[in-house]
Amino acid sequence: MSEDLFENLRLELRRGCLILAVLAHLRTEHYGYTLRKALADRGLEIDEGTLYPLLRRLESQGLLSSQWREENKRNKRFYRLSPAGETMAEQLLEEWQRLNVSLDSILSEA
Amino acid sequence: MTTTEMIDRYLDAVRRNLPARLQNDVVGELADDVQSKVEDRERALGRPLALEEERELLRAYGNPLVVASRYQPHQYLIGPAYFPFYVHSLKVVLGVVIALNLIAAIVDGVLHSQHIGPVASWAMLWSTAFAALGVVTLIFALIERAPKTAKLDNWDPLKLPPPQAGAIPRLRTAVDLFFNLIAAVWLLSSSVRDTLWAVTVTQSTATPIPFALGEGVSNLFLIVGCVSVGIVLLDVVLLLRPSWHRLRAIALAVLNLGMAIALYRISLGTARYVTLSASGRGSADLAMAAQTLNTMFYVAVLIAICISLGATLWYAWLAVRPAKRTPTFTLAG
Repeated sequence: MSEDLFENLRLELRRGCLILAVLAHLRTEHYGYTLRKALADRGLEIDEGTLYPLLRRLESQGLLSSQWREENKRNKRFYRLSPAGETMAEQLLEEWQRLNVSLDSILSEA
Repeated sequence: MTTTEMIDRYLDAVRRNLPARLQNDVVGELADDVQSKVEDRERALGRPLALEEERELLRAYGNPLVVASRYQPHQYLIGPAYFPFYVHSLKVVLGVVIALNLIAAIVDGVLHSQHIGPVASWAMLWSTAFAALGVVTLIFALIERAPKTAKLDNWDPLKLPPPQAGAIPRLRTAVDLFFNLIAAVWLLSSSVRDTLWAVTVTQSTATPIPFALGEGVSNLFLIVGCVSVGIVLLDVVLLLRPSWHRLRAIALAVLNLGMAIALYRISLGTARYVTLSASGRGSADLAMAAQTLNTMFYVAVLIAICISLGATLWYAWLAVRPAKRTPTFTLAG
């Protein structure tokens, strides 16, 4: 099996998890860099080219709120879940758990 | 250049490619991210980053154009939802453009003595094809950006055509059309029919003796040219309806029968295929050469009649033979 093929499929598999991971982490306030580090520390690496547009998209969808604040003499944009985002995160979590159960069932038969 | 200057240049390059309303926010966020990463790296190394190290760090972020593009609402000129329709539309439109250009070329070649010539026709074909490609692409790019009201799923299984057993591939028909068009233009062009050719008779004199095309050859060109036009029209129909293979067989049977009959009438006629146009040459050898040429043409016409009759029978059989079973993909009940 080629490395490239595995890498492509691996990225597709991980891509589906990112939104839930981001929403779950933003139950507490983060700015982009710390969010990326927190995800990487948990084994879910995401590059800034993916993360920042994703955060912007989630905010435009009303799932996040953000504000600029100065910290350590630099302006940073802090994100956290909006009320709609909290509801969405719960729903996605339930869906994730359903998928896990289905997948476990399929894998145990295989 | 300093490391700070390099970062500023990078951020400015990203900014230039962003919509105005996003520039401050996106670049501000990116600047903070870059600085945070630099600080982390310097803390780990225990020293400031060198210019080359910072260069590699910025390269890892990606080309400024690509970075900016990720903030655009549309990542595709024509997205995956509309792309299949775009490709299909392109095929139809380009097919029509090519067909119209070829028809215009043949009409020009047949009707006008001062025709535009193959080079100009070729250039016109390319320019109209590219223009058509551009228009179709622009239309679909606009559809992609329009509010999503287009009903792509508005299709009905009841309206789908039946499985096309025996359908003639469009590419084959298109190639057939192309070559028959060329043949029709060449055969029906008056300049070809009126051409004299010189035959050198190797006698002691070695003087070129011109022969002239007789009415018989002109008629041959006309008949075959008309048959070619008929096949061109048939091919146009088949491009639109590739499953009409029975019509194709009938049409080809009729065309071949017509050609056989026309050739037979020519063979019975007294019109010569080749005549001598040399004056003052009473040589028996020249007369024999002309007679030989005429005999060769006559035999060729007879052979052509036989081939045409054989083709008529073949296509007639194709027209009447039982239809192939249409393919089914479902299990028998």
